Formats: sequence, C-alpha cells, structure tokens
Amino acid sequence: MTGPCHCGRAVLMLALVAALAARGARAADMPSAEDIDAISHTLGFIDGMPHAGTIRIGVVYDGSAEGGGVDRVIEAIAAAAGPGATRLGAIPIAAADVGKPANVDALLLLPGLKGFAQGITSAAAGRHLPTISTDPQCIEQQLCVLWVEAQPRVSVTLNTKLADALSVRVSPIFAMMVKRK
Amino acid sequence: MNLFWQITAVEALLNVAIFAVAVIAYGMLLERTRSWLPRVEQPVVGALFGGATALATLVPLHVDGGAAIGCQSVLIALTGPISGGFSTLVALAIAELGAIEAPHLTETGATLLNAGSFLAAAFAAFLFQLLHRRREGGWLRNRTGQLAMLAILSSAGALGVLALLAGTGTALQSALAATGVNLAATLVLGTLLLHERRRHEAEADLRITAERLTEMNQRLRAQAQELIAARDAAEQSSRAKSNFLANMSHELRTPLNAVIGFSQLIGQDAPVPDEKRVEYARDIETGGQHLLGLISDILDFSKAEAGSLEIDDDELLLNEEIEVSLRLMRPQAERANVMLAGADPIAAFYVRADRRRVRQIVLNLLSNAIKFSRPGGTITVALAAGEDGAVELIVRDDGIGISERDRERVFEPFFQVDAEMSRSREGTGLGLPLTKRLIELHGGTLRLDTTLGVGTAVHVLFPPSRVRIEAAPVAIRRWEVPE
Repeated sequence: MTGPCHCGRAVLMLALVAALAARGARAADMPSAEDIDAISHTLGFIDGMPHAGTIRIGVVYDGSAEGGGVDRVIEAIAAAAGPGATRLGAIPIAAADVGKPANVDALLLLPGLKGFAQGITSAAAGRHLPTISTDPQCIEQQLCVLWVEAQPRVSVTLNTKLADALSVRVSPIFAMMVKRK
Repeated sequence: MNLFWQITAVEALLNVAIFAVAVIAYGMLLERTRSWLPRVEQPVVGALFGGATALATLVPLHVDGGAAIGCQSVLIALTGPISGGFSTLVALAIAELGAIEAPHLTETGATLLNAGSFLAAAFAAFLFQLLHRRREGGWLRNRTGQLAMLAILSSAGALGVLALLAGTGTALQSALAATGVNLAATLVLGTLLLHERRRHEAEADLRITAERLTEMNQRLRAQAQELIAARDAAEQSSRAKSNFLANMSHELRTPLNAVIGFSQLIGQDAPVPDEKRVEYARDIETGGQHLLGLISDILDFSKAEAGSLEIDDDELLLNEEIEVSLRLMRPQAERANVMLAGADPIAAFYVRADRRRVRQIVLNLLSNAIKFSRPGGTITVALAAGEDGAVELIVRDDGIGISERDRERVFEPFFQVDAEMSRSREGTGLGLPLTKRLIELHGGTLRLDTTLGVGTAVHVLFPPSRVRIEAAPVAIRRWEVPE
C-alpha cells in the first residue's frame, strides 16, 4: 500500500519560497520607468517643490559598486514628465559625495546605500531635501522619507519621523491617504 | 483608480465641502439678516468668500499628482458680480492673508503664482462688472454664458501670471486643465450662489406682497366697518324719520281735529250759545297757533340744515328776553304744576344776537324743561358771567333726566328721549337740535349736564365777542306757580 501523495503541498511551498526570493531580488532592483512616474507624481505633493520649470533630482548611488545601472535611471528620469507643468532633471551623486553642495530639489536613493546612511541623512537634513527610494529596506534603515513602488499597484509609504527630522512637509490629504511608518 | 487620483478625489471633495459651506452661509446671511445686511452686505459677503477661499487654499487640488491647479480663486471672481466691487477687495485681502499660512506656498514662485491667480480673479470680477450693467440683485442673472465668460476671464488672467513666472510653454501646458477646473467650479458655484440670491429676492417679494395683502385686508375691513356704520346710521335715520312722521301725524292731527271739530260745532244748524262760540273760537285759534309753531320749527330746522338760516345782529338785553320768556311760559308751567324761578341777575347782560332766535332758544329750553319735569318740580333760569367775558344761560330742572346712552343722540333731529313719555307730552324731537343749531349760528355752544332720574341743566354759552356786561343789575321777576 502506498500512502497519500504530498506532491501538491511541496510544489506550493516551493512556489512560495520562489516568490519570496523573487521579491527580495526585485527589492534590490533599480527603479523602473513606472517607479519613476510614481515618484514624479509623489513629488507634486511635497511642499516647496517648484511649480514650474525643472525639478532636479539627485540620484544617489554607491559609487564603489560595479555597473549600478545609474545611467538607465538618469535616462528614465529625463524622459519622464514632472508633476503638473514641470519637467524632471537628474543629477548623479555618488553616496560618498552626497555631503557636497549640489543644486537639487530631492534625492532618489538607489538600493545598497546602507553604509552611507548617516551622510545621506545629514546632507538631506541640512537642505530639507526629501529622500525617496524604491527599496523597501530604506524605510527600515531610516534612510528615505518616502518609499514608492509602482508594481503591482502604486503604493507610497511615508516615514513621518524622518520627514519631521528633515523638515519635509507634504500635502495633508496626501499624508492622510498614504501608508505611514 | 490609483492612489494619486484617490487623493485628488478627496481634495476635490474637501474643496466642494468648503465651497458648499460658503454657499449655505451666504444663503443664511441673506435669510437671517434682512434688516441690516443691505447696509453691510459687501464687506460681510467679501469676508465670507475671502475666508472660504483662504480655507480652500490650505487644501490645494492636485490633478493626477501634478502641481496644484488653483480653483480657489473662483469665489473671489464671483464675489464682485454677486455682491459688488468692495466685496471683491475684502475677499481678496482675506484670501491673501490666509494664503500666507499655507505650507505649500512657502516657495516664492508658488506664493507669487497663488497671489497672481487671486489678483487675476479680482481683476476678472472688476472687468466683468465694467462690461455688464448692474441690475437688481447684482450683475449676474444666472446666465451660463455670463458665468463662463467670468471663468474664462479669470483663467486667462491666472495663465498670464503663470506665463510671466514660468514661461509661455508652461502656461500653455496648464491652460486646458486650469480653464476646465475653473469653468466647472465657476458654473457650479455661480449657479448655486445665484439660486440663493434669487430665492432670497423671491422671499422678499413674497413678504412685500403678503404685507400689502394684509394692509389691503385691513383697509377692506375698515371700509366694511364704515359701511356697516353708515348702514346703521341710515337705518337709525330711517327709524327716526318714521318716528318723526308718526309724531308729526299725531301732532298735526290733534290740533287739526280740534279746528275741524270746533268749526263744525260753530257751523252746525243748531244754535250755539255765545259764550260757547267764543270758547270754540279760542280753541280753534289755539290749535292753529300750535300748528303754526310746528310748521315754523320744521322750516327753521330745514333752513338751518341747509345752511340758509340767517340771523340778525341786534343788541339786546338778555335779562329782558328771559323775563319775557318766563312770562310767556307761565301758563304752560301752571298747567304742568311746575314752578318757574328766575335767579336774581348780578348784572345787565347785553348780547349782539337775533332777538327772535334768542327768544326761541329760551322758550324751547323752558318748554323742554316743563315737558320733562314731574308735577311739583322746579325749573330755575340763571345768567352767569364767564371768566373770559362770555355769558352763560343755565336752565335747570329736577325732571326725569337723560340716560348716558341718549346724551349724544338728543341732538340728533327727530330723536326723542323716551318715545312713550314724549308721546304723552307734545313735541317733534326738533326742539333741542334746533336750539343747538341756533346758538351755534351765534358762535356759541350748548352743553348738557344731566343725570337720569335727577334732572338736567342746559348750559348755553354766548361768546365774549357778542357779549357786553354792565354792572347795573336789571331785575328778573320771579315766576312762581302756587300750590
């Protein structure tokens, strides 16, 4: 006699593990065009952003890492429309140089910047710059004020404590509607 | 609907709520402050709309996460055409003050853009008012075209400001969305505000109509009462004339019957003793005299009523006229067993008057006093000087008196105090009214002082202009009827 087959349950478990692994892998991905679009919309709700002209985004990356894909991100930002009547512009900033003066309105943090947390935070605080990222870890690491993801659906998470610390203010309705941590 | 559209929807709902509250508050202002609002309408409406605009500025509207497109200036644009130019200025000032506190307007460009859009709205309001002649209730008459024109003016101004600040390209990019939102908001809000205004005007019209109807109703009621009074008076007059005719027929028939009866007795075939014939002739004369008196009274009264009774202007001694009248009335007083007494005069009272009419006055008063005195009663006649030089003739009796109810009516022609009693005593009901008119023709007055069951005093006053008083007393004889 043979016992009941548990193959289905094993397949389900394998699929779950694969999905979690895929999510982890995606979390470390560079921002996609959809993510950039969501970030662009999010910028419209941040007080102090220009209402006309170009919104300059400082793209902060780990300069020591190989092939970070920064160029693709900068191209995607330049191709995206800004909120309302504005345009978007991107300036690459190596994480090591983030403290240096740069004429930007916001910082987009690419994945893998855990080691530069202090420098980034102090640079952002000094110029009241909102820090945005598509990396879910950035919220936990107290690196970004806003975590934006476009897939599977648009979701924005606001780190209220960090926003207060950086003196970043957002529209009250926006703050009410997004997730908060 | 993604997250950004959801946020836009919530922002739009909040803006709608703020503007709805403004519209409701505007309606309440119009409704509850009817008496004082017309005087302070412009600053009050301006403050209300400016406050609502300032509040709406704190909740900017983002379209698909894009930059704020200000539809907050709509109320500023509508304030002028709804209320007036001054209200626009008040609304603009309050909205600008409120915008200073808005967190999203900390950036200079945003502040300028917002202020520019408000100024453009105010300018549009003034321009609109220049283009349209004011009518009752404001410049707008709920015409969609007018509202659309206002929205386009306002949007064009705001886009002009944007073009100046951010360039033509940016302004053109925003043109469609800004104009669309502004147009929709202006149409909806303008229609609602005008609806409130027209409702208020309709209510005011209704109130005025109701007041007019109430006034008309009161006037009709008063007219109805006047008609009822006139009808009552006519009925009263008719009754009085019927009574008069009944009395007259009685008064005329009695002496006429006597004249006819005694004439037949004299003219009959059977011989009549001489002494009887003389007696009959006297009775015929008495009846004729009575008839003559009645007819004279009627003619005099008719003349007085028609205003054609003229009086002579002789100087006569009133003391003498009273003395003569007392003497003439003595037989009548004797028959009624009433004592006639004249008080001793203190002076000689001369009056300028018609002698015949003055005697008629005194005789009428004495005749009335005798008629309404009980047997054994006393009538006194007195003359007294008034403080201002007038002279007063007082005829006082202790007869039946006149009830309070009849005091005014005794001066109505043909009225008799007690028909039953007066029927038993001859009279037409013309004596007292005629006497009153005669003294009034002399510029004097006649007043009654009477108590039912106690007696009556008639006061006849000759005016000072007709009176001359001399100190030398002229005696008035006492006429007394012995028991």
